[in-house]
Amino acid sequence: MSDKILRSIAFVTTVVGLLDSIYLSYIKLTHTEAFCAGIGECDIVNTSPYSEIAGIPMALLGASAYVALVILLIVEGRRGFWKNNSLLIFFGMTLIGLLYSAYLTYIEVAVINAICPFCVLSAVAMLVLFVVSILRLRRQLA
Amino acid sequence: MKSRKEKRSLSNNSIVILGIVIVGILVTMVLVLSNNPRGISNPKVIWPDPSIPREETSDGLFFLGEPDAPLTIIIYEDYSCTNCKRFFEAVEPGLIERYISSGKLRLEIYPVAIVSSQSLPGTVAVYCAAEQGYFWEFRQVVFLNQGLRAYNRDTISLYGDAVGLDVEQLLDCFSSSTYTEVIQNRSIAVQQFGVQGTPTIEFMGNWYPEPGTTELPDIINIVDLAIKEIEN
Repeated sequence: MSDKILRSIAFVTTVVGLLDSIYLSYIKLTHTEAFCAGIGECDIVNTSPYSEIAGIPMALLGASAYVALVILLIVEGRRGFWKNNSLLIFFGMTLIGLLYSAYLTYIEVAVINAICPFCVLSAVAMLVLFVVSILRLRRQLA
Repeated sequence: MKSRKEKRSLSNNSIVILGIVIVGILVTMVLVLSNNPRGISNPKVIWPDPSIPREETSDGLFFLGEPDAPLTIIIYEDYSCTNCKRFFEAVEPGLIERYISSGKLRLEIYPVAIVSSQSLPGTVAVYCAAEQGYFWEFRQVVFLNQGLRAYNRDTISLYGDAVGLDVEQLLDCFSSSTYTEVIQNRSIAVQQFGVQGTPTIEFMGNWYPEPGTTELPDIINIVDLAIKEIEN
């Protein structure tokens, strides 16, 4: 798989994750009931005390992270610092995103017994982005 | 064969990646520690004011306020419903202060289990606490801690202990099917009446299921109008 295809996969996945986080932020901030289509319990998860860090909604932090990832994908073609380091920063951010998503999924399954499909979607997006970043990093360092 | 320069570059890259992994793990640990909600929230002041009359009917309905109050407002609530928590925190205290403590209005709580898989165990637990005469206190702890833990034996035990219940009796009741069928039948029945979501408010024969009408100013308007009608 060429780097161009991997970058495209990363871009599309990041945009999906961003839209997902924006939706979760919207329902969190406006107290709107989430459209879960009968396949989960979004509201329990999204209003749980675990859905915030120091009063900041997790969904908003997630959206900020996805925005940063989109920016990294855009600026990686530039010369200088960004060309050399964008992929490394991308790798670091998706690593944190993946580990933290794993923790939140554990909380959903084992502590509050409620699954939010939108949160699972974000976790899957992070997993895909992490794998893509490893593949691209290996290619770059080879 | 790789040159010395290439080997050094590879080694440097490995160190950088290892550094990123270590920093990533540390940052995640900080995030996890920051995202650890405090334990069971149980304010020392038990709400509502114990001087306001409370009553529990034999068929499991719960009243707050003077029995001869001219008006009654019925709240259909579910203990896994996040808007019910908002109603409990934002609207109910206003109703108590404005109408219930002065004897103009009586609040009737109708617990149902229609929202999620956590609804039934939550409602069963509340009924079991009511058996010991602690409906209002237990309901408070349930709402204040909503979303913190699933309604299982461990959680119910913690909540019961926080309220001061006989935890063994509470857990025996929770594990038995004493209230399960009653709650399920009742929840099906109210859905046939038209309760499709919670909180739904029934007042003066009217139903107010829309979220917009469950804000305090809207309810104040409705209740004020009814009081004026009665006084005239």
